[in-house]
Amino acid sequence: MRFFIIVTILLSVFSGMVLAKDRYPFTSVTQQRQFEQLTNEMRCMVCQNESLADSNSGFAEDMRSKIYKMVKEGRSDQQIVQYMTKRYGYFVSFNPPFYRETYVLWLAPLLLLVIAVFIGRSVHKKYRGR
Amino acid sequence: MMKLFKALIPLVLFSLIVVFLLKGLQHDPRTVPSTLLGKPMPTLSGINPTFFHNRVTLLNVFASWCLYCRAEHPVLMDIAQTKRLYMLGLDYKDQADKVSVFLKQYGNPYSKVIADPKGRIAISLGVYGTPETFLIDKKGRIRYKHVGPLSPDDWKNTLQPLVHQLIEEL
Repeated sequence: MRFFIIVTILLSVFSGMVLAKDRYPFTSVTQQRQFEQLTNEMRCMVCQNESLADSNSGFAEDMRSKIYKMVKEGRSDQQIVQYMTKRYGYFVSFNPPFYRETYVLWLAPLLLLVIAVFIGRSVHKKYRGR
Repeated sequence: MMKLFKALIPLVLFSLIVVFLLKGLQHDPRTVPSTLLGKPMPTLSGINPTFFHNRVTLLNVFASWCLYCRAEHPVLMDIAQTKRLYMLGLDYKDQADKVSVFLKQYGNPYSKVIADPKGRIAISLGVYGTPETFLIDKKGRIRYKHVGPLSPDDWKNTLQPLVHQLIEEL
């Protein structure tokens, strides 16, 4: 019984992936991978924190078909990302470049880490003697 | 003194967090600044770039199924009445028969309506929902973008002054 349930769950999960492949057929594996990577790296603008690959919204569908078209035309990753960021800003990318507008985003975790280490050390110092 | 200072640290940190969270609450995650501002209109399928030359264009992305568009429609009708702008409508993911009923019922403010049944033109404009409104200057550059329905105040306080300025430009 448990086996049956697990198989059903797995099938329902993977059926979505198979469907996506049928909608956007590729003859080349490289292009297929490029398409998958790009749609995973880009944000669905109308959803909160969902990638284009994950979202079922009509907007994500349109973006996917646009990316599909560009991949089929043989455009490079860089060209496609540039096309999208030119229109939707760096917000569209889950992997934004290190740039004037984005440096806070990139440096904040590092800064927080430094602060955490600093606090940890001072706490450690205080209690070591006891 | 030092002790008091140290005791205040958590309070300061807490208020900082509160300030940022409050800011986050007021920020609408759907409004994203357009990166196309000041840039020429992207080439749209079916529209010659010279189409925008020598006139100020208001490009409104709408759809008959979009309720917010219905809400802003009277504002667009008023703007069209001033006859100072070329009103271009982009009919987003819609059906021809439905949009003609819509425009008959509520009035047609547009000089021209372009159909975008698959949303392709919208993507090339960086549009991600309806309604959105662009102002395009006489050289075909995007000068303003408004996301969401236009209120009479938006028009009076923000768009209209800019339109006057754009008309004055050579």
